[in-house]
Amino acid sequence: MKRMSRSEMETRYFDDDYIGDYPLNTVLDEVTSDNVDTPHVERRVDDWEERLNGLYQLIGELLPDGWKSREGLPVTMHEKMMQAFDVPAREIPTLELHSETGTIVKLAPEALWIVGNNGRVEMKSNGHWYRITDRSQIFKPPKWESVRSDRRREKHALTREWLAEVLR
Amino acid sequence: MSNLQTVLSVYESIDNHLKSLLAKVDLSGGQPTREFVEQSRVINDQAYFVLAWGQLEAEVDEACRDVILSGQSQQLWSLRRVWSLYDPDDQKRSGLSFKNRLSLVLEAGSGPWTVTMKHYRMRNRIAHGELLSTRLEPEDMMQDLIGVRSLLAHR
Repeated sequence: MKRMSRSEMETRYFDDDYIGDYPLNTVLDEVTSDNVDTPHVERRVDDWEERLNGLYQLIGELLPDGWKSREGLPVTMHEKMMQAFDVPAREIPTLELHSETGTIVKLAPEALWIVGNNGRVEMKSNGHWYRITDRSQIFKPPKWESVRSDRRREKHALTREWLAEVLR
Repeated sequence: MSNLQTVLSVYESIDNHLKSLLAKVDLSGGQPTREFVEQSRVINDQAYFVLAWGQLEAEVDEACRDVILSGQSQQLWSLRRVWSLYDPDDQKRSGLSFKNRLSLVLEAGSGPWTVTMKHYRMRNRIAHGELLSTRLEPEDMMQDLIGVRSLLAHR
């Protein structure tokens, strides 16, 4: 999507919402700032891929007995923010969790640019959707937490107990 | 913001429905298409954000009205005179922009003021026809708005 220039914004909103420049710490900042550029978006995608790999490693370490993790088929990432800044599509990793009894649970990134957090991964287990969300600021170490999609106010840290409960 | 929790519950219910629709689309490969359902989720996020924003804006206006009335009730004319320029019952408080109305009830430049103005900027983009290219997480954003509400000055 083409961004409006400063002058277009001023004409349209009479400068009522202009508050000057500010650092890009959150997706809200990125969405409302006029200072996002292609290198910034490329760096964000690189950082997302790194955080995903870190998450998958963590999940592998938290698995209960009888489960193993393995790399899943990559998915194509080409979010609107990438399209708007001419950043090419990227293959990004997914994860599969396999139980001894043949159950497979897949983790796949849903989106990086979500106003309110710093990227979200989804997985389905035992008929329920779970969201694993990074609550950190942009380019900061991730702070992952999880909710079940139909119980969004019950937030859980990623622990062995949480994962055992999800996979039970 | 008495309706905020209801707005949030309705949003979650619809988003969950769209999410399950997405899973079915993936299985069937039929209609509606995945792209249509994904776009529906983006629009749904933004529609409910604007609805929630309206709740906060009403609170800011109410607090602003209280501040004006409080100023107009000062005993000393030297303190009262500046407030006499504003009509507390006028919808825009005698032509005050949202930024200025907010600055009457939250310290301009403070963290909560800045976050509110960023939300306002986003609200303007959506409400004036520029659909955002990103997903929103209205649950978290509504928590921000509830936090801001508790800080509004009323005198």
